[in-house]
Amino acid sequence: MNSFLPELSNVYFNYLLLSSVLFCIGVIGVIIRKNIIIIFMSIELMLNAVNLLLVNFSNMHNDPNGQVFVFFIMVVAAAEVTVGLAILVMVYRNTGSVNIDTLKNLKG
Amino acid sequence: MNALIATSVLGLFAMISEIIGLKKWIWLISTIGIAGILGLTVYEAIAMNGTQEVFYGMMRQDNFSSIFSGLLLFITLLWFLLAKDHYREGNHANPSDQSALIIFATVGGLILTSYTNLTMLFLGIEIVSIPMFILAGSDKKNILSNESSLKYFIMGAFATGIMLFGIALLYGATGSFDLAGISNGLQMTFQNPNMIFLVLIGITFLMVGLAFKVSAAPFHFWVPDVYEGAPTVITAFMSTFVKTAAFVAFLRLFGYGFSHYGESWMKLFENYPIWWYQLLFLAAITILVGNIIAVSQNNLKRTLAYSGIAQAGYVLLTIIVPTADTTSALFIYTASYSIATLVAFTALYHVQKAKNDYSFDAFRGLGKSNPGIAVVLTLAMLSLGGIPPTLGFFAKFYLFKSILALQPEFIFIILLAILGSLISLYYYFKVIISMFGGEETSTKVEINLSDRIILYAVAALIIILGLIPGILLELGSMII
Repeated sequence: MNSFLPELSNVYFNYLLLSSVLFCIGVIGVIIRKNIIIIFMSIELMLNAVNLLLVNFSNMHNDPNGQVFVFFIMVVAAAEVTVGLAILVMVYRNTGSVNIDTLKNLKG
Repeated sequence: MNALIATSVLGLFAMISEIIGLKKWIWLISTIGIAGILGLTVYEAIAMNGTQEVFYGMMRQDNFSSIFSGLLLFITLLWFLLAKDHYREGNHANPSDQSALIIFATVGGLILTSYTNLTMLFLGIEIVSIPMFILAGSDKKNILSNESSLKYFIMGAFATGIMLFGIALLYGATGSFDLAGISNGLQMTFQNPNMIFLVLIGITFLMVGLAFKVSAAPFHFWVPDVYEGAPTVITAFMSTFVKTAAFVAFLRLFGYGFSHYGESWMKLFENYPIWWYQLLFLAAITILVGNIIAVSQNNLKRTLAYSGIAQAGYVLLTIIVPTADTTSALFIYTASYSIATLVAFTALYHVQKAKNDYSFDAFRGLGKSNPGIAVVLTLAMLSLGGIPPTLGFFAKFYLFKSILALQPEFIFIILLAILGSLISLYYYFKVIISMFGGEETSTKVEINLSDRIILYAVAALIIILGLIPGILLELGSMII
């Protein structure tokens, strides 16, 4: 199964597959969903897939740096989604909708 | 690194200045503060001997970081000087918040010039981006500003996610976040290509994430919308400071992490063919898309956004082969682009404020009613188009020359870039022709005397540095 990554043992490879799948679900969610809150959730899913992958590789290399990085990602993701929700509230006050299709004024 | 701490303190001070009743003085405090920090950076650079690891090896102070920090602080200083009118009473409701956010973004830029660890790359990118999401939406009642802010947020967070996935895969392959560690890990990977799959996907993802930030095609689609919707002064900051900071981060990653500055570039080409072609593809597509779509625009703000995309394509050429010469070319090119774009956006800001319109029609007859602004905008356009004797000509010439000097095979991409510049002349001259050619229909644009003097002085820099580029060349040659 993992013939193209022979150095990875099966456990690490399975985690790699799992986080890749989660990441892809997040990317697809950002691209196809219309509700802005769901888009934010998809972005969080992408970041959490990265966290899982980092912990996996950290375990593989026996190196704590990867797990420290995970804390940085958690903190920054929290800060980022705070700003995002504030922007969303501002948009909702002006348009009365959380659908991404209401925002089509800028084009050319 | 004291400059970084001083900038953070200045940001915090700007944030609380509204509470302690200094709201009226916020522009003066920020400008003097940034000027002081620029002085501190220069002093530190002169006093520094050799390189110096700071923050437990997460960052390193070297000539690269000092000179690019100086450039970024200089851009911020110019922005504050040119945005004076924006900070006058009644023009903006929350001047101290806005100042604080701009200064915090500057902190992120300073981190991006000096990181040696991918953790700091991630934090720097986020510290630059998050204030910009807020600032893009700072015109709260305006639906266009809201839309711009939300689009910027979603694209920015998406790009960060992709970049982080790349970092994680690269960590899996090399076992390190440190640029030197990654460089060593990659050497080992190429001798024993078991992890090559992870490395290639990881670097591609990292490259895509950064390409979003520098607005390279095909990841440029958010740029025109975000730039058009955001308030004009903020657009000026986004298209100069943020782009320059992202390019410096890109160069530091590729220069120190994925290749060695000391190595001959031919060896690099043998070792890393796929990244090389990916970057070449990105640069070629960016130059073509930016220039061709810009031709069909009918307002100056969007045209400048597409012109920024096209200029990003030229700068990407230097990252393909990071050597001392191309690093110097990147420094000169981003400096020239930033000065000209800031001047153009400031002229646009004043015209837009007077006429409430930023299409090309608003500039009709400006040459007769406001010859000063018309001449300044003409200078900026000539510099962006690369017409001598402006700084833009020298920057473009030096960039193409430094790439051609490495290998004559690059002649095709250089020819493509020159073709792109020829197309760009069409839309830069469209502005100039509508200012000087049209019949006089426009009302006079009123500009405060001090604003006018600052604008003329910055525009004079374009000519002065174009005639005596020795200062920039000298600085550029010291980087590596």
